[in-house]
Amino acid sequence: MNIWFTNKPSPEASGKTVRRSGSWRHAIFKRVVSPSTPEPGRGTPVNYPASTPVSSRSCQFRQKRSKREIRELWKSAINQQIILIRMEKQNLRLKAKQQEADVKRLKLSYQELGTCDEEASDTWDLIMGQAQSNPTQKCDIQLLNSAILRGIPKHKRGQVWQFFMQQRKMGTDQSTSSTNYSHINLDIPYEQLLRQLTSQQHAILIDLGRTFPSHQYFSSPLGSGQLALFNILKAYSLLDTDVGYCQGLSFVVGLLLMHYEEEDAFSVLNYMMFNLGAREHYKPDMLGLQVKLYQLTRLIHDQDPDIQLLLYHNDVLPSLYAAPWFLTMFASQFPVGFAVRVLDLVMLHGVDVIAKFALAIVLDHKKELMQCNGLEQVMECFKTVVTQITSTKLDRYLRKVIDAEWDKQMLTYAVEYSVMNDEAFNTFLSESSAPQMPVRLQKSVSVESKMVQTENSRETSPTNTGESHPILGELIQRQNAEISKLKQEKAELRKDIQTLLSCVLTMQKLAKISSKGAICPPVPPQVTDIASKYVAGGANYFSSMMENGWSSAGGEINSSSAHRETLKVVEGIRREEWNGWHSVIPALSEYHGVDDNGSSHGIPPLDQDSDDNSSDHSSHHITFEKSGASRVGISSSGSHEKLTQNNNVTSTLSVFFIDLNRNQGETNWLGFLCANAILRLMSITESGMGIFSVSRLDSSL
Amino acid sequence: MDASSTNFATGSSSRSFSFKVVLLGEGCVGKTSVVLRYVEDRFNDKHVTTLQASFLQKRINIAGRRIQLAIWDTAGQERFHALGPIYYRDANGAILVYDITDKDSFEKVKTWVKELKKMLGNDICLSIAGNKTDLESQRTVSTEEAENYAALVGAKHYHTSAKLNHNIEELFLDLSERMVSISEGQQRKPTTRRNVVVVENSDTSASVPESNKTGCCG
Repeated sequence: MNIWFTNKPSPEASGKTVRRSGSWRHAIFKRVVSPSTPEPGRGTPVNYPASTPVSSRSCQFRQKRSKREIRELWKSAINQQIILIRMEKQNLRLKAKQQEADVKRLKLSYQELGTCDEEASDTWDLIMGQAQSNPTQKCDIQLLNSAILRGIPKHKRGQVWQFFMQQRKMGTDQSTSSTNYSHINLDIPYEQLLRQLTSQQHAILIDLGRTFPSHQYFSSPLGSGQLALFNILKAYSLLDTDVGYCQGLSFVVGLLLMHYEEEDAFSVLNYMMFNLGAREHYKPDMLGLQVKLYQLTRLIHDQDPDIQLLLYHNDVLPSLYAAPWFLTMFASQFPVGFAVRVLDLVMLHGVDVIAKFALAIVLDHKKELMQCNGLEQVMECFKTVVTQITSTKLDRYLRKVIDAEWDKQMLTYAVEYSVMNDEAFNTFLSESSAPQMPVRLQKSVSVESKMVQTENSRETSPTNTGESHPILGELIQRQNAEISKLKQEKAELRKDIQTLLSCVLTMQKLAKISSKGAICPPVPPQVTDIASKYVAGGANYFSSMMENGWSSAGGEINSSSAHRETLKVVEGIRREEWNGWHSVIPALSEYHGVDDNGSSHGIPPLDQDSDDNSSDHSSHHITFEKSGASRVGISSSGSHEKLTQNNNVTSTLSVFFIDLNRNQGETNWLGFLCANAILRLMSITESGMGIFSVSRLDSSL
Repeated sequence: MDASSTNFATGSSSRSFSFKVVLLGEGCVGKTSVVLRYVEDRFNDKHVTTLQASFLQKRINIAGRRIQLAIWDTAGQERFHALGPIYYRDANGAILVYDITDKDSFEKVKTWVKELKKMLGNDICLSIAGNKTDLESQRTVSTEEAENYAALVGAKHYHTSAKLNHNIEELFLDLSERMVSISEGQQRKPTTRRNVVVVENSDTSASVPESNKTGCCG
């Protein structure tokens, strides 16, 4: 220690003082110099590390050090100390980075579907590099599609999505997307949103543990994953108070969090909601989702009527199986590896892609679905078989979604859905004989139709907003033409019903007269005419019956059951609560009006029970499909037991299916009434004929 | 008399029933867990949020009657109703679930009862389940209040715990029994004009071809 205190007279005394007063200096010194420092106090030269420039000098003049030298020494000591501190900091930073990488790896720890080779990674580098060097040029969509088909490596996915967003923004006019949401201030910083409290807190909290519970990043209760999830969902619910929080959103945010930091994920979420149009799915009325489900139904029908028929007969509404697909972008039931592939295309093409995937999936499982019997089995199939995604399946879906041209149909059906809603309301407003609609309801109707309108303008793919409006206009025109056509047809149908009803009565009377005989009343020519108009092969049916002769008379038909069924139908409609069906009621009440008069046109009123041991139990099972209101299916099974003939003929007037392929409920119902009347007529004349099988009414345009 | 025209899909036998049961209640009260416990006897606290509706079925026997329960588990969030009342349409029974530690969820039960009564009248059997009794110490809904309310609206009240498998079986069993008795009552009504024996008759000959049905009209 005498190195430092050479000017002190007594080395022993000074040594003591050094130890007392200079211990901290000593400590620093010891840290700076190498650990091989010789023991202090023996006066041996200190072996400084060679790297320190001062050391050699200090070695030489260790007995006499000038102030300058000491300062130098100190300087070097301090410098080294600074370096040490820096290194420690660097170490910490590295550690943090390591952790970050770990988190990133943890976030991305989902199973990728299909192989994604090095080449794919290079392809994306190339594409993005090119786009960067030429920022005004839009990338070729075909090129991007084929690259998507080959896959995006998951560590690049976030970056590629950002790139897609830029590409999309290039094609759209920024003002269009912002004007729609003028009431929402998208510029509020994320930080500021995080400081506020949301009313949706409870709803969000209860879903945190139920979002990707098997994914490591989200699995720990209130761990970093769940916290990030909560922050984003909370911020969004504050930003977009119309939507707030909707179940399903947590999965979408989860998917984003796997690829982005919290704040970036939030901005991408905003992009998806406001620019890609996902927001409409989540609004409290879920109108956007309903349009999508309607489109899906219609597309399934177009692509494969068999599947639609199966789903229809088993009461499997699209909202039962497909609603989660849309709301979570396939993330809740399908493997994450599949959901991200869907998102790849969504980011580039918008949310219509989801409906296309749904369609591709349903079509692809025709074999499995057709084997199902009953709602339970179909739902089970959707739950277990359909959600099994292999890389070959995925490839098929991707190709189908990219190649198929469903856009035009989807647009048509979106417009159709809105017109259907509008039309149903309008007919109700103009023709309803029922008490006046409350003003409040009227208001809500107009509001809703406006929303449908905006929905439609949003439906038109934002990439070509310029072109889509003429298409929309044309479609609306076409729809209007169709409406007037339908109105004409409606009048015609009404006339037919009148004719048929009078025929029914005449024939009933005749049948009663000849109740025991083998003579059957002749079928009036009008009936044959009308039958041929509505029932395929209807005329043939009658003429063949004419030729073969009538084996027996039907006895009196118990029309009260028909009456009862109609009442049931009306009740069903009322319960449906779907306003569209209200438009039907005037038509039905007209039908009943005739009935109640008991005039020559009427069907015998209720409770005029059969008195000649003949009865007719028909149970009509009528189902409504809310989103596909153009269909009304009636399956009618009637049985006749005729004692006079001493044999029972159980005839099944089986599936009777009206598919007018259009959207106006009222016309449908008139068609239905016509068909029902024909059915009645047939059941009068029918006896030994056994089964009168399926008829398909198709009075398409 | 056509015996096959009973109200039930399973039709031909009066001893076999098919019921639709729907579980309703606020989010995260344990609807899915209750169903899972009952149908598959397992408890999984790591299942995903139920969106829209999911469907499970269970077959049971009560006093020789074969009963098929179609159990609909529903989404808790209110806005899903916009997609239509498909959950409770044609339902024979409803189980209204609340969380005993969450007062709000009990209030939600009350609104559900109102809605069901409005839409389906008294045809539907109601049960109320106060779930999560394993968290008894955190209870905020008083037993007395809940039971009184249930009695008031004609529902059976059960304290359940899907986690501990407490009272789950009993809940469904009781509901099934009530649904059977209601539907048997309904079946009997129209047969006053006809003949109860006829119905029984066709039960035994369910597998016999239709020509045997002559008996019904005799």
